[in-house]
Amino acid sequence: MSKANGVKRVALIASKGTLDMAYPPLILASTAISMDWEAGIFFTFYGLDIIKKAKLEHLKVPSLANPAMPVPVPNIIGALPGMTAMATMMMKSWIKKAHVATLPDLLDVCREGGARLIGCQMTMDLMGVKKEELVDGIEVGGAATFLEYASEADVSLFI
Amino acid sequence: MGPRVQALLWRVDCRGMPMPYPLLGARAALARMTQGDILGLLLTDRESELSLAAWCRMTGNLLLCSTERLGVRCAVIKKGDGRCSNR
Repeated sequence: MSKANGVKRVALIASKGTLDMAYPPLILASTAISMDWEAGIFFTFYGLDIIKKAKLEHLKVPSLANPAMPVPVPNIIGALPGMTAMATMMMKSWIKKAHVATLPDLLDVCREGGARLIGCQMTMDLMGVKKEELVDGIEVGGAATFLEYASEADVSLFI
Repeated sequence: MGPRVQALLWRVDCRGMPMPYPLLGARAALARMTQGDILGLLLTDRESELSLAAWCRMTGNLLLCSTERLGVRCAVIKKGDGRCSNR
């Protein structure tokens, strides 16, 4: 349901903590901001890593069970030690070569654009994460916090 | 009377900037412009260029043209009334 004031809103759930899956919510939210939409992202389960100070710049690409990698790696090779680091290194080199924005930059755009960035309380309890471990400008909330926000959203996606 | 000539007063150079910075650049410029003003946007990011038509519809502006030369894309946007025209 659209809001009464006519401003559009996007509500996203970021549930994955890999480098590749951190991009869609941040690109969508920052693009929404460029269109003067309201944007909110609920970071839950492994998605919480995207807003962890210690993890944000060290998210990885899985080398296992990922047949869509541009250079296909058989699972038996992907399981070897160091393959995750290698897949991550390759992805980071492509990101650099294609001049794609970095995750910290995109997160900055979201924050400066007034996006609501909500860390999932339940996940934090479950995984023993403290609020101090999260980057600045994050609010901690629960499922109802997100649902209330999403109930007035025009676009709502689970990523 | 000859044809009406309008100088391009508003220009934003987003060459080398990745998505979504060109869109944010356009947004910042358009916020300072008045309806009917023309904005010239230079960009090299393909994704941003492809997004521009939808972006303009959603933000109530008009994409007049978008051309590429020597790897640089130039989009010309006319500031509209701000009403989403994607209906």
